[in-house]
Amino acid sequence: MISSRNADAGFASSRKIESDPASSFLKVLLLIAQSALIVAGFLWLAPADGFRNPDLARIVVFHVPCSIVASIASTVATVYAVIYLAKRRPSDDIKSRTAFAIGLLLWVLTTVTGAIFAKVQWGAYWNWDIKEKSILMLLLINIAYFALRSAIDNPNKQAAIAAAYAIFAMAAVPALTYLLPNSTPDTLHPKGVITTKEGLDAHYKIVLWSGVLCLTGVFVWAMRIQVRLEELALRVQKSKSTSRGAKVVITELGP
Amino acid sequence: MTDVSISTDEQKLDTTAARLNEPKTASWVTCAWEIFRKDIRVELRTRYALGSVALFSVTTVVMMAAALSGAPVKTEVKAALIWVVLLFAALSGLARAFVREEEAGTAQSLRLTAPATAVYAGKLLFNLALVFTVEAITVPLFSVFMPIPGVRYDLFIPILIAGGWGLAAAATFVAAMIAQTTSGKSALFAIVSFPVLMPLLMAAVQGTAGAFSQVATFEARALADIGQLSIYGVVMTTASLLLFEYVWHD
Amino acid sequence: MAYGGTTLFAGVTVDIRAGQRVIVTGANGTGKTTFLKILAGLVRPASGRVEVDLGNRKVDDVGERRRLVGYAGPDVNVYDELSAVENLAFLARLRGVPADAGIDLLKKAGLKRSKQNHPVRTYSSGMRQRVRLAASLLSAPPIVLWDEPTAMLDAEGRGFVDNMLKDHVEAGGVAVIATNDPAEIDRWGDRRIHFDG
Repeated sequence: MISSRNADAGFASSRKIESDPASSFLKVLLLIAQSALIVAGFLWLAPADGFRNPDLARIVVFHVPCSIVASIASTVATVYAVIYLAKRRPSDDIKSRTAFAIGLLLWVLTTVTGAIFAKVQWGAYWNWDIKEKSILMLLLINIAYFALRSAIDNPNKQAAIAAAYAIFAMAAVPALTYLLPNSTPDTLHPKGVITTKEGLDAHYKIVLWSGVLCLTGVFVWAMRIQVRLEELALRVQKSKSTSRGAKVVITELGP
Repeated sequence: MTDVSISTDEQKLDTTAARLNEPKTASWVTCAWEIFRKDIRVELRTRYALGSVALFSVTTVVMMAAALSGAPVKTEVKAALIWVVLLFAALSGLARAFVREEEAGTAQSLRLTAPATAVYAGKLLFNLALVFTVEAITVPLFSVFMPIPGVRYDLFIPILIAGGWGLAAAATFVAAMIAQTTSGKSALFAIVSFPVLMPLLMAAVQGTAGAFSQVATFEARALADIGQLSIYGVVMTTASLLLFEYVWHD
Repeated sequence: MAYGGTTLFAGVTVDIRAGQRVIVTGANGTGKTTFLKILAGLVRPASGRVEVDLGNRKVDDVGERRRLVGYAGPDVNVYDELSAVENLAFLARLRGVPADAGIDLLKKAGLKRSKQNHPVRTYSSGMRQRVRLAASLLSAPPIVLWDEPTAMLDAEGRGFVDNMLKDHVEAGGVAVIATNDPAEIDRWGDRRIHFDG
């Protein structure tokens, strides 16, 4: 992501950056909770019945939270893109692109965990069912977002065009997630399994939904750190450059 | 040399224009139409876009047919192949509408004279003409080199029209974006437009396969696909019109 | 007013009144072109505002301001594949002014009749510059923004620029011109903004 060399440049701020006790407590809690979940996923949960590899099928409690929080990240990123285009504050652009970056990571993890499961359960890493297609689409959009950004030098244009593309691409996503499934019924991703009583075993549901909560916490935390870092870097850059402003002389020339 | 007095951070131009009228701008529709006409006129003189697109289409279809000449090819595969050719032919020519203007510096002139959405509309019309021309070249070629028996043209042609419109709408918007990048435009055009075109491609191929299949259920499904392609076209055109201003102006 | 990482100027109000010519000078890269582009609405400043007062009303919206300016600069071009006449006719139709306004301007600009209908691609750089300048005056805009207008012109071309400028300013228009030519600065300048990077 961003190098921190600017942040080290002896930059004095009137506002000290320290973490208050409450947020430190939350962070430690998050760490414990997430670790507990990982352990629970592997050790506490019984191997899943009715799957080819009951032990490996536990991956579903990691795969689903990844996918849900990745969707949250993409939504947050798109919302900030809209806000940026309306208000044109650089901080909104920072938030948008950070959310996209974290979203990209989460989508990759979703795809990988899904592929591992798919290989074992159905014999192939990729099956082209409709959910897989939409995740592929989101993955490609995220990659294209950063490819587009890296090809534009002017920071204003980079932010505006990236935000416009994000909104535009996200507008096309529902076509894939809602329209097409009506004609090609989803076969591999069953509906309602994680919410209804007849679905997953209660223990799995606990671990899965706690996982969603925890991962969302991790997402928020990562966002805050990265956004703060980039905002500081931006401030450093600005303080350096205003010192070399042009001097303007305005003269009245005689008639 | 005296300095002008200095007060606040504003810039103010004051003109009491007596004889100078406030310039009118032509209507939005006129602007869009004139931009389309101008693009057609320029294109007819240089033939760049048309040439590259037609050449791509012809060579690809002929080569594909040659490569597959011995083997029996299922109709679903032919349906996919025809859209692959259309997609890549489009990618080779649809960006030109904006890239040429940005590189020549004429885009700046348009920014000062015409409303942003009218520019998009004019360029969309041009790209629509280009897409339909590619389809008009590719489809007959296909039926010569890779013939398909029993095609339901009453399904296939609406798919070509609706799909072509969605393709042009999305590609025109993406072209406007990548025309403002510094390098690697063709590769970037493909990378950036492909995820957005995925739903279009899937619906179009499925519908085309249905139109080729000679099976009643698949043909019925093709009707649904035509509906989806139309919705996609409307959504993409609307999104482009709403967002184009942010891409076009600083 | 700031753009990019640089402050173009701070704590300044520049009032330009009807009938005034403002010369913008400064070495290359100090912001002359950026300044003109901000005025034209081609570039969005990070801070600062431009207001236009047309006497009967004020114009705050950038989109409207863009249509009130006649801008000529090195990166605003005409179509190579079309002739000068076709280029100006196209712009005239976009602006809603009669097409022969362009022909008049081309005549005043001294563009040879024989070349008027040939593609701009075949023109010399001086002829091309004349077409650009004519295009910027096409809709008789109240605000003229020229970036190095005489850069590629011979003495006759510079005469044209002088005359057009005089006509425009006498009619009550405003002109902001970026140039480094000392003769022009003397000849034209009512006021001068100097960018001292």
